[in-house]
Amino acid sequence: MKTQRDKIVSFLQTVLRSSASIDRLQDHDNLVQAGYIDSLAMLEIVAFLEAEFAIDFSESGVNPVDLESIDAMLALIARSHSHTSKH
Amino acid sequence: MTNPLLSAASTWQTLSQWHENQRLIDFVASTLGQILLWCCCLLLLYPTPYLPLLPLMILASRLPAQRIPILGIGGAVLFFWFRFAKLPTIDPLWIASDIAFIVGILWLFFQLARHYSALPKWLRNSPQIALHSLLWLCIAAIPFFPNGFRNNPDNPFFLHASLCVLLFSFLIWRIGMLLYAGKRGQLKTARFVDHLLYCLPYLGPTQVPYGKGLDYLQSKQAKQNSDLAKSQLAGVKLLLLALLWQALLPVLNRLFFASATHSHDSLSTALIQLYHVDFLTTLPVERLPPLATLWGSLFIDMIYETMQLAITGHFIVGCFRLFGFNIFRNTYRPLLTKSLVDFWNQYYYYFKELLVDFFFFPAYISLFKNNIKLRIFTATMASACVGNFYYHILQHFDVYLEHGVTITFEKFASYLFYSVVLGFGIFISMLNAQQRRTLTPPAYTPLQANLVVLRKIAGVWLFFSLLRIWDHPSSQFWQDTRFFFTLFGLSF
Repeated sequence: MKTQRDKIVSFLQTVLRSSASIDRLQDHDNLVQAGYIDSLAMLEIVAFLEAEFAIDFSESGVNPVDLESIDAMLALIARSHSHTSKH
Repeated sequence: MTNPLLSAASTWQTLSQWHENQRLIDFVASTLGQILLWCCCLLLLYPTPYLPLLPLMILASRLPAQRIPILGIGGAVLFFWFRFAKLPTIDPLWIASDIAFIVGILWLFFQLARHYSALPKWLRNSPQIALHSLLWLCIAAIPFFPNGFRNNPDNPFFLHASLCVLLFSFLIWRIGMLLYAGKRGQLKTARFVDHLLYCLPYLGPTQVPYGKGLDYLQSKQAKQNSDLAKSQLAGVKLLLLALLWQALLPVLNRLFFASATHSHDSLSTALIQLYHVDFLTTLPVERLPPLATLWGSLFIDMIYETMQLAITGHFIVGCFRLFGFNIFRNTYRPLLTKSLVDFWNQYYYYFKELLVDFFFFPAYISLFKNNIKLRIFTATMASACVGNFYYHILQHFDVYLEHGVTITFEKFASYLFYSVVLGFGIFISMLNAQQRRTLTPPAYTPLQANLVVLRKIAGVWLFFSLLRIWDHPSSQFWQDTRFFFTLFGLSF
């Protein structure tokens, strides 16, 4: 079964810049700063997180810091799910 | 076969990244390295208004745990330097009351943001709209003050009240970020002193919050000595670049714009006489210079303006980096970008980020979730068009106060057109970029590849240099449009 991280990595492969390689990507790497994705891909990441992990950004808005690395996205998913389970 | 352009680019890349050399970073992290670094910074900052920040930068490097409050103090020092050093007639008591006003209003909004969940539902749903409505209520009240913005020695209170509205407008986007932090629940255990940095109009005499908000700055903050040295070296590099561009501007002036404020038939002392576009748009058709001069002016003026923007941004971002916050550059090689969306992203990064945070994402997450193209279109128009136009109207609210709504829109008609075309241009560029990602890149020969790159860069230059004709909030739409047609030999 695919973990959350696997799903994110699979998705990132579809939005990577043509010159970037997923093999060297570390979970804490800043995706834009390290040149893995362009800022346009951030939109697609938002759409992916909404669809795949049912994250409702209309609750708290989009904070680009939450999308800048795999670690940050995993933390966002965890926060979002714990928030949902409390309600 | 080796592509000469690519190998030259690769060599340049290695040379230009000297600040990432590990041995140099290790040296700068040492005591001797730090001493030499600050001596170097003294020389670099000496001719600039950012010199008062130097002692605070040194202090921040010694007290990393207090870096954020120290940067806040630095911002306050610069703010009052920029705002009041040039207005020495203002009574020091009024300056003190301005400080009290700023801290007071920030404290008030900090408390509101901190107790965000306790706010009424309508306020929690639309905090930014409520904030801007409050500002516009204050602006609308100014004409009812006796004297409005005008100084009256008998009654300076109302002048001062008007100034406070101006300060409020200056802080508006930073307060907006504070409210975002409250909405995300990031302020429950926060210290006000940290958020002074978040809100004070630090580093930069514009409304654009360079360095964005606290969470962004924290994510870019140096964690270890080597990170700090790396950030400091990156800061030195930007200061050097800023000074280099600053030295080149007079050369550009001498070469092309020596008598740029005079008409083309006046005595020219430039090597090739060109003109700034905002001057050309004011000339009657019969006094315009030849077409080649017009087109030359269009392109060289864009380079000139980009250099001016880069200088300001490099100084500001350079200072942030010397404080230990290795944030993105404001202007990063925009004239080498290959698409409109990349130019927009790299020309004025923190302005673009402001529009993305306050207009793009709010529209993107609320509207047309099931139609990706419509979703991107709406969000792009909300930011590049509506947000961009609104930002400039707000920045020039004195025009509204002096002339009323109708004339304000008339004066901003050019900028409205600029914003609409920009929005459409970026939207189309985004769709193209998305589409390109799904396609296999064509197999070009090195020469073909270089030509394709040059064609793309030329396309970006052409679009933005032409669009800049309308990028002047004070000019008249028809004059600008007439000038545009003149470029293609059509005059009316």
